Amino acid sequence: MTRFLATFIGLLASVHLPTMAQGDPAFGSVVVKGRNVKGVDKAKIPLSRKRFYLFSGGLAENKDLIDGLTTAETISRDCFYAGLKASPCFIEWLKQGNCESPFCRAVKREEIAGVPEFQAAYTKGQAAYAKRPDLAVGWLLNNMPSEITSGYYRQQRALVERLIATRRPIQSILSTAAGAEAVFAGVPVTGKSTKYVISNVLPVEIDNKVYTWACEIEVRMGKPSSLILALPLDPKRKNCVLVEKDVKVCSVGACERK
Amino acid sequence: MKLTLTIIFVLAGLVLCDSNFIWKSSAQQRAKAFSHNTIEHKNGRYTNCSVCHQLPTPNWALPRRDKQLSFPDVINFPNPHKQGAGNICFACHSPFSGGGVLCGTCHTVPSMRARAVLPFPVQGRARQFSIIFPHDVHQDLIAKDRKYRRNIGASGSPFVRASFDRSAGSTVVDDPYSCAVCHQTAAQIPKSRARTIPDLKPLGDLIADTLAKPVTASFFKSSPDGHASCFNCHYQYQHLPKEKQTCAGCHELTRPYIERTTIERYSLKFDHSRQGHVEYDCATCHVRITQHSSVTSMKDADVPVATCWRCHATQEETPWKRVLLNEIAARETSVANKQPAFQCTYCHTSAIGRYEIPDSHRPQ
Repeated sequence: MTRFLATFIGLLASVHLPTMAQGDPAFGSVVVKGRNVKGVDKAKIPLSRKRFYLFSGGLAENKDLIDGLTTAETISRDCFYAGLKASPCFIEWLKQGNCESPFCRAVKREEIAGVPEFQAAYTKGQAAYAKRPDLAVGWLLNNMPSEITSGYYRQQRALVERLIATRRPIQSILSTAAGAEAVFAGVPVTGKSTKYVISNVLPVEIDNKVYTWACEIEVRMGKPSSLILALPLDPKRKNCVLVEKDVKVCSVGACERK
Repeated sequence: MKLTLTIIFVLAGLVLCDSNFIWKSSAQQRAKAFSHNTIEHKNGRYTNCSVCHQLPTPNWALPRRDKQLSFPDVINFPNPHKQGAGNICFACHSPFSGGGVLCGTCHTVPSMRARAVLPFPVQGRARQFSIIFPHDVHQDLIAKDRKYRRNIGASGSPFVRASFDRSAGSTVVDDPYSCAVCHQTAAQIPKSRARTIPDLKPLGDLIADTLAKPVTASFFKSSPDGHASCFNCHYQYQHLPKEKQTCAGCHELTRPYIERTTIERYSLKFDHSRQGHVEYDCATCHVRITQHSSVTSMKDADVPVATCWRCHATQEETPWKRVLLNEIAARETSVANKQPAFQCTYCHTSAIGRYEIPDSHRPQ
């Protein structure tokens, strides 16, 4: 009986000891901001509403990931929609709002006639919701082909999944619309500081080029660490990789409104 | 002979007292309303929700209980009285059993003579499904344009949509908040209470709360309750991944629960509409929402206190700009001087502000 009790207590202790030795978890945070990352229209912030990923380890530990970012092939928004034979007016509508899909912003009633995809969806909606004809506008996206509405997102998502397949991020976060700023909070810190890599993974398209940052950052407990993503890369900034590539330009034609 | 008579009397008595007793099926005997979570109800042909449920129900154009303009929706119980393939309940449950709980699922009077149907969905009844809404996917997709605008449409529709038309006659508001597609400023003050803190100790008793500004509805945001904000993009499973193109794409069978109408907060004094807050994008503070594909898996506050530091833990002299530091200092001083513990009531009510300060609150 005594031996049994001793074994039981020993087992309990072996389960609990490692936890006790680790102590309370400590957390830090990182604020990610862009600098000089501007598009053609200066009012638009290309880094706003972009997803950033936090990977454990420094650049060396994330070499495979960075190799993947360097070799990844990117299809531009225009090429994707041109490949789907989307109308030039639809592509122009997307560009006007810096949009990647029609989920991005409201379709105004007066825009419907000028964009064949919207017009077709509107006509379909009028027949489908005869008792509520206004829903033909309100539910416009329901009547658009899925490839047009979410095909680009699915393609982008598939690229991200491929790139992070071997190295899963511990967090991902969307940057704000207004400030193009992303805050990673609750980042585990062991000892004085812990190394992480932050990357946008999915290249950001600016003027026929695509940019992907992968930067190492030391996160300390308490006060937020700051990471500035600059364009061009700040030469003083160590341990930061900027993958810059030309993107294939596809002719989408001019939108001729009737 | 005596025994036979006794049995007959007992049986007759039972029939007279409750005619349902003998003939009740197991489903009818259940005290609760219809359960989706039985082997019979979730297997075989019933794996397909549309065996029972119709979208939209034929009566969708009738005035709605929630006062919204009607739109193609499910606004009624499935009809078990349809013959043929639609004979969905009576294939197993006897229609001669006198009703009971089976009839009471939908009818005001649980009897075979019942005509009147309860309003759908029945308020106060336990819900059997939780909602699957991947915030991260939706945030990646919608409203990338800063000048996203929300309001009530020209048509008078109260729906607020990513693709809604806001033309003449509407009040246009520049609104960078994509979240406003589903979460709008509350129309009325909801019931609220402080969240519980299991891991920390209270350092004092509750004190009366003082507020710089009375709590108004604008402190809170609403959440969708129904299909309205979903159907603008996903009516009849549009734009959902192939494997999610069923009711189960969004509705997950769960243990029955009574929906809580009381919202719980750590910082009940936070006013979303206040100048200094209202200008910010929701994702500036609600950072954890953008990280999670399911809010139900989130264990703690969706707003980490680190997001408050930028404005409220600065070295500037203005009190509100360093209020976090001031309150922590006041607490530490009071404890060091063995005085009653200072309560942190700038953001919190006393229910939270009297507790120990968590490590997360100390910018170092």
